[in-house]
Amino acid sequence: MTARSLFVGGTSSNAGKSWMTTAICAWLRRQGVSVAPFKAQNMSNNSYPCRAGGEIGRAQVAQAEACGLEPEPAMNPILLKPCGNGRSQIVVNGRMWNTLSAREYYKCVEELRSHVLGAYADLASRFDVVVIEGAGSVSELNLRGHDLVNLGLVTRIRSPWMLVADIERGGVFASVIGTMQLLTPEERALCRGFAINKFRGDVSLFDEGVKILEERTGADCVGVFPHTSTVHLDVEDSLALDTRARSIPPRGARIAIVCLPQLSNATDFRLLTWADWITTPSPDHYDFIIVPGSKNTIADLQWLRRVGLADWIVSRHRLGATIVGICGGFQMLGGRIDDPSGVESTTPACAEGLGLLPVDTTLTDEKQTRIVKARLASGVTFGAYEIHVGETTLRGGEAFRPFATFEDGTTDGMWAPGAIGTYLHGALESAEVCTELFGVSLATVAPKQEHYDRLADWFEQHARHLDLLGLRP
Amino acid sequence: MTTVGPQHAMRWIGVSLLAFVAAGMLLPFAGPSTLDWANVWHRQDPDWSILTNLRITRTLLGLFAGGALALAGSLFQSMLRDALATPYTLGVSTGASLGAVTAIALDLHMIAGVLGVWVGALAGAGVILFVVMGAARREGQLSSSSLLLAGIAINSVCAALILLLLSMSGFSQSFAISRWLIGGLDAVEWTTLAVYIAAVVVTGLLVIRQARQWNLLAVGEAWAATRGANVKRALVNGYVAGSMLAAITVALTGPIGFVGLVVPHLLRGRLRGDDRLLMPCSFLLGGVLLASCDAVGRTVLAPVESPAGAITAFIGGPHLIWVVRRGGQRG
Repeated sequence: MTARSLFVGGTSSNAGKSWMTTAICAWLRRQGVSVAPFKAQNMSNNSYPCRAGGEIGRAQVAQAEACGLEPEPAMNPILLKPCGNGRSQIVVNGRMWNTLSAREYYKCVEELRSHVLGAYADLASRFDVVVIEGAGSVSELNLRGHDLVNLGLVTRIRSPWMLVADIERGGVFASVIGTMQLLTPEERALCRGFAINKFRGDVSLFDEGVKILEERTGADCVGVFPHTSTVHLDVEDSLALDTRARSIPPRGARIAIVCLPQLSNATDFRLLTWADWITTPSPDHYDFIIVPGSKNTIADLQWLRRVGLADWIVSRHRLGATIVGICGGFQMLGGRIDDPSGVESTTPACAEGLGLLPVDTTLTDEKQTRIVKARLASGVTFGAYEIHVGETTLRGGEAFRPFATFEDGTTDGMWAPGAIGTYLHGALESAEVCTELFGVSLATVAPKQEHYDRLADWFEQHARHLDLLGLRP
Repeated sequence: MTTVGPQHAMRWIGVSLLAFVAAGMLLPFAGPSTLDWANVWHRQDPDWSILTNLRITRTLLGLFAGGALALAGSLFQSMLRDALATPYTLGVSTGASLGAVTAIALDLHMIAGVLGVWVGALAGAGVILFVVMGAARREGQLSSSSLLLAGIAINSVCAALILLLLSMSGFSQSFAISRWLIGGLDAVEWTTLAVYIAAVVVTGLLVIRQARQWNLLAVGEAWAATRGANVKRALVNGYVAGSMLAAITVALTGPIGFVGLVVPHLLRGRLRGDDRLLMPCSFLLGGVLLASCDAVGRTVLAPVESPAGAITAFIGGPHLIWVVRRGGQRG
C-alpha cells in the first residue's frame, strides 16, 4: 500500500462530501497527480455499470470521471440499494451479493470489512493518491462498532482526514465543535482540519466565525467554500434532489420529472437543470413529463395512481404533453406489467400500466446490465447503459419507430406520438440527445468536462492551508 | 305547439340548475382513490392537488362539454326536424376528428405553438362546415333537408377517411389515433378550461336566445317563414353555432357519442318540445349526465378507466331502442 490518502467526512448527510471529494479529485488531476476516488459503502439507487463489469454508485462514477479514470468496482466495494420494507440489495465489488435487513447486514460486517480493505489496498497499490469519501455523519456513535465507511476505516488505514460542514442548513458551530469533541484521541490526531461548505454571500463575512471555530476546536480551517450554481454534478442519491441547482425553463421545453418514491438513476436528468420534480398533480403547463427508472416498478406505479399522478399524466398526454419513460418508467407507460416470480416484492404481482405505449412487460429474475452505443433516427450517437429486470414486448406490428438503434442493428424502446419509452439510462446525459428530444439549444445543456474544470477552480480558489492535507505532488 | 306553463318551466330550469351545481360540487369527490377530508380541508397534498388539479377541472369540463353536446343535439334536432339528429349528424364533429387524426398521423405535434390535435380538429371542422354548406346549397337556397343529406354524406366520407388513415399509419401512430378516437374527459389546465367555458357559454347563450326561431323551424320552414323568420339565415346561424359547440368540444375531448341524442330526447317528451325550455334544460342536464358518466367510468373499474363516451353509449343505446320502439316522437 503506497498511496497517500485523504478521507472526506461530513457533519451530516448532504453536507457536500461527494461534491468536495469530486472537487479535490478534479483539482489533483489537473496538477498531474494520479488520483482515484474511493467510498467504502454507498446507500443509493443511482448505480452505474462499469465497462469491465459490475455496478457502483454514481457519485464514484462522477469522481472517476473527474480523475480521468474509467469507473471500476474497487472504487465503491459495497453498494446498498434500498428496495423497500427496510431491506436493501447488497452489491459487493460490483456484483449482487444478498438482500438483507439492516440487522442482518450488521451481522455480516466483518466479512464486508475484508472486502472494503481489499478494495482499498488494490487502489492504493495503483495510484499516488486515493481520496476517500465518508457516508452521512462521522459521529454516529451508536454505529461505530459496525463502521466500515467513516472513521472506523480512517483509523484502520491511518488516513489523514478533513471534516465538511454545511453552513446552509444552519448550526455550523454546533456541528463542527460537537463533532470534533466526539472524536477519540486517535481520530482527532488524524484530523487535518475542517471545511465550511455551501456559504452564500461574501465569504469574508465569516472570518470571525472561522476564528471562533479554530480556537474552539484547535483544528485548522481548510476553507470556506461558497455555494455555486454554475457547476452541475451527479447527484448522489434522490435525497439531494430538492436542494439541487435550478435554471429557467426554455420555451417549449418545460419539463416535469416525477419524483418516484423508489426512484433510481436520478443522474439521468443531470443536464435538465430547469426541470421541476413533482410528487403531486401540478396545475402548471409542461411540454414534457418524464417518468424515471424505479427500484420497484409495480409499487411506484401504485403510488402514481394513489397520488393522482397517473390520471394527471394521461390527461396531460392527451392535451399535448410528451411523456418520456425511462427503464421502469418505460415499463409504466405500457400496458400490463407482470411479476410472476415476485422479483420485486417476494410475492407474484401484476399491474396495469398507463397504456400510453402498446407494450407489455414481464419481470424476470435475470438482470440485464450492459453498456451500449446507440443512435437516434436523426443520426445522433450516444453512449448509454441498461440496468433492468424484465422483458418488454410489443403487442404486435412491425412498423413502429424505435427510440434508438444499436450498432448490431437491434433496437431499443419506442418513439410514438406523444409518448417515448427507452431502457437506456444515460441517454439524456448526452447533450445532443437532449437537444433532439426536447428541442433545446446545445448551450442549455453544457458538456461535462467544463464542469470538472470549474469545480477544480472553485476548490483551488477557496481552499487554504492546502499543505496540511499533504496532497501536493 | 302546446307549451308548459311558466311556473312549470321555472321549476324545470330551477331543478336542472340545482342538479348542475350539485354535480359540480359533489362529483369531484368521486374517483378511484378516496380523498381524505382532513387533508383537503388543510390543503394538504396529494389530496388537495388531486381535488383542485384533477377532479374539479375534469368535472367542469364534463359539465360544459356535456352541456355543449346536448345543446348542439337539441338545436340540430329542431332545425332539421329529425329526431335522430346529433352533433355528429352534420359531419362537423367527424370533420374535427378527421383533422385531429390527420395531425396525429402526420406527427404534427405542435403547429405554430398550438397543439397539433387542436389545430387539426378546428381546421377539419371549419373545412367540413363550408363543404357541407356548399354541397347543401341549391340555387342559392338552403333547406334543412339538403343540409341533412349533405351532412350525412360528408360524415360518411370523413369516417371513411379516418379508417383509411388508421389503416395506413404505422403501429405506434395507429395506437395513438385509436386512443384519441375513444374520446374521454381529461383534467385540462385551468387557462384552457376557462377559454373553453367562455366559448361554450357565449355560443350557448346565443343559441338559447334564438329559441323561438328554432321552435318555428321545428314545425316547418314554410311555416316559419310565414311567421317572420328568415329561414336561410336561421339555418346558417344554427348550423355554424351548433358546429362550433361540437367542434371545440371534440377538439378537447375527442368524439363522445350519445349525450347529444339522449338528453334532448329524455326531455323532449316531458317539455313538449319547447326549445325555450328544452335548450337550457338540455344544456344543464347534458352536463350532469356526462360528468356523472365520467365519474362512474373512472370509479367502477379503477384503476382502468372506462371512457365517458362508452358509459354514455351504454345508457344511450338502450334509450335509442326505446325511442325506435315507440316509433319516434317527432320527425
